[in-house]
Parts: sequence; structure tokens; C-alpha cells
Amino acid sequence: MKYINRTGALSRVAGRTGLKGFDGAPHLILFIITLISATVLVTVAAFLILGSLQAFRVIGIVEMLGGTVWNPTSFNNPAFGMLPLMAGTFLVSFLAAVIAIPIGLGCTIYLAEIAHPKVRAVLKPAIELLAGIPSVVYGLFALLILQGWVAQVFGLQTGYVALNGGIILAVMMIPIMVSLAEDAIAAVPRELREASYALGATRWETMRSVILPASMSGIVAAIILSIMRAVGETMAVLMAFNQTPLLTLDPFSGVQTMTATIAIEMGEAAVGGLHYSSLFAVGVVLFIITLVMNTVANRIMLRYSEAYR
Amino acid sequence: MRVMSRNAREKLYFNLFRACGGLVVLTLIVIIAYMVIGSLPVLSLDFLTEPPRRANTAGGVLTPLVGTIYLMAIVSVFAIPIGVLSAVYLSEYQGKGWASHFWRIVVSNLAGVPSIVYGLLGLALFVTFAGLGRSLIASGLTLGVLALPIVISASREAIKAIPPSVREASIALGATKWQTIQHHVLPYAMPGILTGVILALSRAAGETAPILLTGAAFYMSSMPDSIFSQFMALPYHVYAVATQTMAGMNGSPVVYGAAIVLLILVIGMNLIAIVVRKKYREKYRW
Amino acid sequence: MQRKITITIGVVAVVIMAAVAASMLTGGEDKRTTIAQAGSDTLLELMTEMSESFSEAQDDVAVDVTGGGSGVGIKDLIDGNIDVAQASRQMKSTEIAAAEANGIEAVEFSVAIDGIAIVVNAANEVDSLTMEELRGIYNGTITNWNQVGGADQAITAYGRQTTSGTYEFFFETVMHKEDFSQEVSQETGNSAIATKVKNDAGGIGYIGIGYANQATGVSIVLLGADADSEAFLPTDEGAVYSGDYPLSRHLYVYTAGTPDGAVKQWVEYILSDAGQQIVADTGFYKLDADTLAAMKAKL
Repeated sequence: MKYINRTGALSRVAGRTGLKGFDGAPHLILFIITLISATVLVTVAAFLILGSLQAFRVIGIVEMLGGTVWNPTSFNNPAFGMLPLMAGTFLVSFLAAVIAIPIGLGCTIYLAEIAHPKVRAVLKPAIELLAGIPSVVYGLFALLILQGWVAQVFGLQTGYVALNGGIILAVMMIPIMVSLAEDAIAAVPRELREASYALGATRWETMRSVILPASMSGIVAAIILSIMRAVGETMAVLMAFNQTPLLTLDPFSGVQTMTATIAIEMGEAAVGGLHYSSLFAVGVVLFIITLVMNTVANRIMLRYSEAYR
Repeated sequence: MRVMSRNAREKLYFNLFRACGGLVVLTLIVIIAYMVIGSLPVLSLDFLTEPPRRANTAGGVLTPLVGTIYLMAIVSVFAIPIGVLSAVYLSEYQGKGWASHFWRIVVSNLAGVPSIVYGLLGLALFVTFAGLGRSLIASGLTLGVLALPIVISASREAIKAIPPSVREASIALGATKWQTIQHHVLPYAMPGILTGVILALSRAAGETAPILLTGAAFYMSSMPDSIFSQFMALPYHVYAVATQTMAGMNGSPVVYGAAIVLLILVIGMNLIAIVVRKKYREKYRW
Repeated sequence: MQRKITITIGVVAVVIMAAVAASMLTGGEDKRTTIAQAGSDTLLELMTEMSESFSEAQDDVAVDVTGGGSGVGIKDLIDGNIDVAQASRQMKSTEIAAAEANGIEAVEFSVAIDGIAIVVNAANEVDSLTMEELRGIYNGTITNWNQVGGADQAITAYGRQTTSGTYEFFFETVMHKEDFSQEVSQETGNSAIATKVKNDAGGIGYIGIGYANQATGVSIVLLGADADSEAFLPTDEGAVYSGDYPLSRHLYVYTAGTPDGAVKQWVEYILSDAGQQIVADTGFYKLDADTLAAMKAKL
């Protein structure tokens, strides 16, 4: 009885503060904790944007996003054009995607449709484990071993080129892609498959004309999310190729990605200075790119989860 | 143009897919094999119990390993309670309105933000603005912020998977909402939450970029003596030995050894998470 | 039953984590004073070895060493984040002013002498360059080895990241503050440059002599101030001490204020015979007697 009374009083207070359906102290405590985590998460975005304002204001948003030279520490004419960095990120992510998508999808189909259930029971968790390998380990492999192979296979003077990064990023992307895409295929209702077999289709025909189209949105979302990993990766790209902020799409050239730029240059940039702020601006652009990719992937994913309720 | 029969074509495609699967497995085996073979000369228990020597080119990984454990401890203290309780609030108390939708979007997007951006934030917010300097606490909080969305979304998933009937039964018996959460929702969601927490911790343990900017040291002659001192950490140790010492660049066993210890730590945690999840998936089938 | 086990595991894990956290707060039995030092990557190996042998020599003081580049170390010293900065260049006037604004008087100590080595791939037949040619390679006007008397092969130039003191020194001494070519790769350490040059037939890079002495698969080229003057190697001790080698420089540590207590002990150790022997062991040059005396007088 006492308890109910107490809650009643609290509840009236809560009603005024806008907490609907209030039921006691735990509610309030949880609400406060949620507010704390909300503040933390919002601070991430706010701090980034606030930090970048100076650069966007002084240099100008057009110059920053469209400028073709990134040379912030130049003595005579510092330049803050982000285009070379964006091109670098695009190039290595694109190379990674080109390599990872066919292999990843092939592996997904094998895992989802062909592999013996016992093999799948081991392989699926194993691939999930591999998605958790720290990027610095992949970076180490690219730095010490893979570059030699790349140089040899393509007859290059040096293996520290964008392609080296593309390959190692592809290796990092595939486990994520396979894991998510396999979930999407597994979500296709059995009835569809059985109906197709009943019509006399072979396994491959069923897969190609029924299963894959039905799970396409989930697969696309898996691809986007795995590309996101490549775009946001720092250590592997830092270790895999020569860091040169060139505006190029040549896979046999060194490039500099947005992430690597922040990692290399942040240490010294004076707090509050233009260089410091411009690195925040790079962070904001990176943030927006991942935001867009994530939103698109979520939209697509939502569609596929609603399609077969 | 039907050169091949339907079955022959199927066989061709299937073999192609098998090859893809085989290639993925092979790549990963090759990478791990290189690390293992490279590290063989140093792999022993001594490697874990000795600090690095001779400018990180000899000795073991004790100091970096301890640093990484300290970091995980800070992340646990900071991100887990807040993350899990926020998830409880968001899924049990908050309705299904726009606010709930908004939070789902915020959390899912922040989980996808590149780790270097968290490093940038940690440097600006914790190291400089809050005046914590390059320190364990600054790096730990940075990793905590990185882990928070992962903990929240995993916990929400786990709580959401509990059927409403469990809650309704409890409330029908006169339990308050909090009692229901305490005695029914949380215990049933615990395995899922635990899985998410372990995954978040292993992610924090393996990240290099955020601690690169917020306090990892190349060399420390002793363990960190307070949360305000600098620290060595395994992932940064791998990076630093690999790029800053001649031995590392020449593929010294020490660098592979450090990578293997990191791999075992992170993969081990992931493995525990997978086992926990599998076990309880079988147990609670709604 | 199983639920209880899970909860137990969870509780145990939390207790362990809390215990670790508590042990961090209370500190270990180690009651040594810790000096935080950061900065130059060139000095990283030297200072780490110095710190190790310093720890063996006495029980009161420990030194933690971080890289990042001279710029990072100096900035941290200015911000009061660290006790000692290691630098491969001198502080700029703007940095000294910033330190004074924060109430920190940075005191400079030379600790070793370095000749920055210009290294090329071991297979490269070019064995001598002038400063002018070096500038051309790094500003992008010379892009092929046949322009400087070598084979027909594209040049890949490796340099340091902008936080590096070696970068600054090179920027001023070789480039005369003109822009580097955008094709120069920014490497985060001396050893990264050495290894990439080793793996790149057309590679060229600049690294501290301590690293060049250890590197394999690269050769050090002779460097002359101009076409008419004699060219020297950075391994030529006399030429480095006299400054005839064009890229000779001092390496420094900076302390916040005149050192006392633990920091004083540390600087004394660096300048001691044992400390200077480590300088030589890591491939750099000991301070000459005059400089050494002048540094000791500053203490």
C-alpha cells in the first residue's frame, strides 16, 4: 500500500515532467542513465561538428570539398582540398569491393545453399570469428608479406600501392558480408524454395531465380555495410601503402585516405588551429559518408525484414 | 546456345561457389599461419610474463597485455552498466513512438562511425578539453564511447527477443514493472546481453586508432601506476614495433608474437560470446 | 540452473574488472617516480634503450617513452602533458613563446649527434648526390634516376610525416621551406622508410644514422653541399662532427624548467659516460667534449 502511494506521488511529479506511465524510482534512475548515454552519443556528433566549423568558415566549404590539393603544413601556400583524400578512400574501397563482392557472394551462396549442414555449423561461426580480428593484424600482414606478392604478381617496383590496401580490405570485408548476407538468405521462407522445386527447377535455378531475388535487399545491405568497414578502416590502410595525397584513381599508385590523414596528422596540429579544425572537417565528412551508407543499408534491410513477415 | 545441360551448368556454378568458399577459408588460414610460423621462435609462457626489452625488439608483451586488460576494465566500468541500463529503459519504458525510432537510428549510426573518428573525439574531448592528458582514463573513456552503441544495440536485441507473454504473466501476478524487469526480463536477456558485452569488449581490446591519439606509449619501464598515467597496449604495440623498429620491419618474431597474443585474446573472447549465444539459443526457444 | 551459472559468471567478471580497476587506482607496490617523455621517432630507439639501462642503474625513477614525432613531444611539453620532450630539431620561436605563455620555460639539452643518411635501394648504382639534386627529387622536378646519373627507373621518394623533427629539418635544410612534391610518401618512422626503400628498387629516403647503420638492403649515398664541393657519408664521423656533411644535426631533449629531482637524475644519466655509450651503441654519435661540458653546466 505504502509502495503504491509513494509511486503515486512520484508519478504525479513525473507526469508534470513528461514521463508517461511512470512507475517508481527505478524508472527515474533508468531515465537518468539513458539521458547520460544520450548525452555522450550526441556529444560525439556535436564535438565533431563544432570542431570543424572554423575550417569550413575560414577555408570555405566549396574549397574544402572541391579543392584538389591537400597540403596543410606547407610553409608558402597551405591547401586544404579534401578531394585527394576522398579519392584515396574511394579508390581503395572500390578496389576492395570489386574483389570482395564476387568472392564474398560466392562464399555466401556456398555457405547458405551448398555446404553440408555440419560444415556450415562450423564455418559460419568461424567466419564470424574472423570478422573480429583486429585490423592491425591485417595491416601487419599487408605491410610485411602481401606487398611482396603484389609487387611480384603485377611486376611493380613496389608493392606499397593502393591495390595492396584494396586486397587486404577485401579480406577484412568478406567475413562481414558473408555473415550478414547468409542471414538474409536464411530468412527466405522455405515455402518459396519448395514451390520452386515442385515446379521442377534445379537447385541452381531455384537459387538464381527465387532465393537470390527474394533476399536481394538483404544482400545489398550486407554489401553496403561491409564497404562501410573498408571506408572507415585506419590501421590496415596506414600500413598497406605509401601515404601520398595524390588525386588519382590509379591502383598502382600510393594514395592517402581520409582516415589515415587524421591518424598521421592529428598529433601535432595545434589545438584550435586551422589544421586541427580541418582534420575535424575530414572527420565530419567521414561521419556523413558512413551515416548515409548506414541509413541506406538500414532502409533496405527494413524492407527485406518486412517482406516476409 | 544451350551448350551445357542444366545439371552440368549447376555443377559448374556450384564448383565456382565452392571455390569461393575455399578461397576465403584459405586466405584466412594463410594469414594466421604466417603469424603463427613467424612467432614460433618466441612463443612460450615467458613471452607473456616478460616485459619488452631492447627497445621493444626483444623480451615479451607483459606490459602491453596488462595495459590492454586495464583498458578493458575501464570500458567495462563505464560502458557496460550505462549501456545495458539504457537499453532496458529504451526497450521497456520508452514507447514505440518517434523517440524510440530516433534512438534506434542514433545508436545504429554511431556503431558504424569509423574508430579513428572516436580517436579524434577522444583527443579533443578527454585529452584536451577535460584535461585528462594522454592517459589510461582518456583512452578508456574513448573506447567506452566507441563500445557504448554496441552494448546498447546488442542488449536491446536481447531484450526484444523475450516474448511479451513473459512480462504479461509477471504483471498479471501483481509484480511491478521493475520487479518484472529484475526477475524476468534481465535474467532471460542475460545471455544475449553478455554476448553483446563480450563482443564490445573484444572490439575495444583490438582497436588501435583511438588509442593512437589518446595515450598509448611506445615504451614503459613499469606498469601504469594510476589511471592518469600512459600505458602500453597490445594493438598499438603491434603497430609501433612493426613500423618504428628495424626488427619489426624485418619481420622479427616479436612482432608476430605480439600479433598472435592479440589474436588469441580477441578471438578467444569472440569464441566465448559465440558459445554463450549458441547454448542459450538452444535452451530458450520461445 | 543455467541461469544462475550465467549470472555467476557475470558477477565474477564484474568483480574481476572492479578489482583490476581498484588496483589501478591504488597503484602497485612500485613506488618509483615516473617521468613521461614523448616526441621524436628518430630518438625512440635510443631513448627506450636509455630508459631500460637507466632503470637497471637505479631504483627510484622510471622513464616512459612515447613517439609521435618531435612536434608532438614539443606540443605536449608546452601543454604540460609530459615532463621531457625528445626532439630531433630545435624548438621554433613560436613554440617557445607558446610555452612561456603557459608558464613553462623549456630548457634545451643536446644529447647526441646525428647525420641524416640518404638511403637508396642496394641495387641502385647512384652513389652520390648533391643537395640540389636531393631537393629536385623531393620537390618533384627529378622523377627518374637517369636524371642524376643512374639507370632508367622511376624514383619513389619516401619522407616522414609532418609531425617529425627530421621532416622539419629536411624541410628547412634541403627544401628551403619550399613545398615537397605530393608524391612523397609520408612514413611514420625511420624504419618504415628503410624497409620500403629496401623493397623498392627506385626508392630513396632520409633516416637517422642510427637506423641507417642497422638497415639491410639499402645503401647510403654520398652527399655534397653542391656540385663543386666534396661529398661525404654520414658514417664519416669527422665530417659529421665538423658539419662538412650537409645534414649533420644535434638531437635534443627539452625539460620544463631547469631540471631537478628525478628529471635531473635522468638528464645526468643521458649525459653520463654510460648514457653516451648507449648513444654510440644505437648507431648515433656521442656529443663532443665541448658540447658535453656545456650541457652539464646547464644542469
